[in-house]
Amino acid sequence: MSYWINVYRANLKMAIAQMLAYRFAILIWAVWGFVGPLISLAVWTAVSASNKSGIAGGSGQSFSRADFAAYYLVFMIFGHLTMSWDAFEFAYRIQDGRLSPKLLKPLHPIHSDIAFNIAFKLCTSAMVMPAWILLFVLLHPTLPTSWIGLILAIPALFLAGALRYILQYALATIAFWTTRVEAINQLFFTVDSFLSGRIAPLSLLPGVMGSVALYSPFRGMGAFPVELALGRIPTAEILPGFALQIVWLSVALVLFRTLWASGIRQYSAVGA
Amino acid sequence: MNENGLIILDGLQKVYRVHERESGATASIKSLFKRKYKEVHAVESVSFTVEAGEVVGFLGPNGAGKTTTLKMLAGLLHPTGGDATVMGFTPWKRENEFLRNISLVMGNRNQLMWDIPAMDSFVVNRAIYQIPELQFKETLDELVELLDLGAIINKPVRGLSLGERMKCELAAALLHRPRVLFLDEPTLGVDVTMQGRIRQFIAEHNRKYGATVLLTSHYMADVTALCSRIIVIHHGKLLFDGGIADLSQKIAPFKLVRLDLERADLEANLEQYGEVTSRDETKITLRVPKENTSAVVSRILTELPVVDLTVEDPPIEEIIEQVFRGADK
Amino acid sequence: MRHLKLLSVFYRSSIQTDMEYRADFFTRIIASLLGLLMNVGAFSIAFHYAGKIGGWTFPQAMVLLSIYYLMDGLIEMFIAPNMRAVMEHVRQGTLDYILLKPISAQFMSSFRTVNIWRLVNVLVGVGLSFYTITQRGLVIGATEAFMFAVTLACGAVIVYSFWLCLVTLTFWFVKLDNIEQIVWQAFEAGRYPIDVYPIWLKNTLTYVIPVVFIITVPAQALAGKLSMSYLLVSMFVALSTLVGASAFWRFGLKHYTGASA
Repeated sequence: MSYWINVYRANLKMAIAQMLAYRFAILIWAVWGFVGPLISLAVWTAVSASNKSGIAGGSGQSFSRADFAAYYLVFMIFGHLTMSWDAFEFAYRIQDGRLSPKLLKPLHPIHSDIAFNIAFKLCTSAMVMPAWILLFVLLHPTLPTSWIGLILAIPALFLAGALRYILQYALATIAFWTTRVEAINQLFFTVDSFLSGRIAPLSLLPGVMGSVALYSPFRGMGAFPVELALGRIPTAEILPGFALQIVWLSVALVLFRTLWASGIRQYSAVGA
Repeated sequence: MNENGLIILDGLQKVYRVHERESGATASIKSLFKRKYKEVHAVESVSFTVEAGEVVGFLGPNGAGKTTTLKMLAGLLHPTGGDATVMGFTPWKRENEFLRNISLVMGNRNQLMWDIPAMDSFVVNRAIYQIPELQFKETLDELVELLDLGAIINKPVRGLSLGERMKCELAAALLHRPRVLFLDEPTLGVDVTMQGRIRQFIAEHNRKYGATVLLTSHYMADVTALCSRIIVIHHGKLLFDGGIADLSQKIAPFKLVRLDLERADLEANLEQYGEVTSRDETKITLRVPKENTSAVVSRILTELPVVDLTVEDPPIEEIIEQVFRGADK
Repeated sequence: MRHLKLLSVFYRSSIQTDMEYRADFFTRIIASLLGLLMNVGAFSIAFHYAGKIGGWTFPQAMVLLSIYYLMDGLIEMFIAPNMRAVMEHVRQGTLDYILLKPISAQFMSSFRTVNIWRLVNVLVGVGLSFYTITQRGLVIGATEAFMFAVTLACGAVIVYSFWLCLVTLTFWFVKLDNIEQIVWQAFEAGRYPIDVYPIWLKNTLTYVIPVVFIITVPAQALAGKLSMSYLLVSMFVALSTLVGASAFWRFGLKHYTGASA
């Protein structure tokens, strides 16, 4: 245990020093987290303007302008805290040969990457916090009503982050077979945009997409903690929501371990 | 000052203002608010003149100001003081007519594009330098033959070895037949055989087209093989300018006396003959002032149990090193 | 004339290179179509709940989206690869070789390469606008076509100028390697009708980072909703940003070679 604490402490320290050296560059990446949710919010605000009684989807959940503001603000913050970029990074790393030295260390590269991910979120969250607060003041969102929901959202957020991270890392290992991962990443991003609730709250998704979204892994790494925090999830559906996150996380872990093992074999076969 | 020189430097100077930074998170936060600057005198009032057709070696340790001087002469850097002309042009005005007649090759930086064969880059250069079709063909054939490029110019540059890449870089730099060629460490990292090939080629090019060459190198062999004249700078200042023979005459009027003795456990004080520069068991090297050489040698032969004795000029590396040591004092 | 000849040499050489990487072509097709699916889907869902958004109908919004694609393709084809190369040159110190060439450094830096496979996005954009226009039974007159072409060119010039300024900043701050993301973040917002945004953002996107002139104005021109005066404004903005950016580039280059020291 103390081994792992030491490993992570050392990696985190290094990562934070690097983040600070590139503070401006990482701030630019962090601002990306604002763009998607704010555009969606603007669109839904415009939609609400033409429908004063609120927008209601098939499942009976209704959204007013202030509800949209709350949804997308929390989505923005949670999205920032759960984000992962390794699927893109990994392919570059294989291309320019930065992976091989990492494989020589007696430590799986995912650990230093996790430390980097955490360092990024620590540093950038501190930087963009004022902007989050400002947006909260400016947009007059509906405030969350349930304390239990807010507290439960914390473990849900951790699970969401872990799920997204592992799943993206599993996806990243595809670069062992082909370094052209752009199409695969675009596929993931496209599906994720719909099914995680970024484009629209899941209850507003029309038809079969709405039902698929309820059980897909994307809900567990997107909308679920957000709706939980906002008290939009009925009590009876909270436990199944967590269960879904845990099931998908287990699947992702198995997938990652399998893909990694055969990917490494493939990589060393063609000459790392 | 010779007004007819092809390259004329007159008190050329370059001072950089550098932002000092320390490592560590707190220091980098501090530097956000308050920055410390210091002045680095890279080149300090350097003057010399190079005639057309000369091959001049430009020597100095790392950070002596060689590359900075070359960059000013190629027009990449503005000096902070002094003046220079190359073929009558002021380099840093970067007039097209000037640029068309020079080339700069940097051993640690590539001009060729990584993903495409060198030939494709050559074609692009032909358009940029407006090289007439016939001349292009002729020069290219010649370069291909001299540098043995036939098999490599159609392969993507990324797949070439360091030496092959350097040969292509040289070819790219010479296609437009520059009158002045600046070479910054052209043999860096290249193996010994390839170094020889490159040297031979540069000499050949100089002879054939009368191109003026100013070359920096870490490998003294490059300099001794190519240059009739060397210029030494250190800490941005000119230390020596003249022929290689003059250098040893002027800076190092010494001979090296190498001895092989019968026994290693010698009691005699060797320092009385000269400065002991190395001692390995029975093998000893002494540095002896030139004018005393014959006297010292005869003394040694009578006083010591000598198996073998040779007298040599010190190698150029050693002379240069001595110049720098002297300058540092 | 000489520059046109150089341009053809530059582009020919980089297209030859791209031909070697044919897999990129298929990657691009898949990625483009997936992106299109996502964007059209997002629009459809929003329009499911409202007939008009920000004053634009669904087909009009599709025209807007098509221009977004068209412009994205043009940028990734002609502008982005060159601007990225300049930043890479600054980092590696190989910008020196460009400065040593007996032609304008700005010309060489701006037009050295073309990324031919991004043509896919251009085609997707053209296809989508063509489809939308024929679906609505619209006829594009000569005036609209002309105004569209001019405003599109102006939009491209504005993107280029903006990006050139960012690249010039790297002469001072070498570490700004992802600064292009600022361009894309603003560009992303131009995908939707500008009127959906709150007034301050609308003003930012009009006056600070003129995304409006890059996507919205050409789309309006195509839809026949653009007045002649806006055409002139667009041309004026394009010209002044180009002049300003070129001046800034020259100033930056002077700093790079130490003329200001």
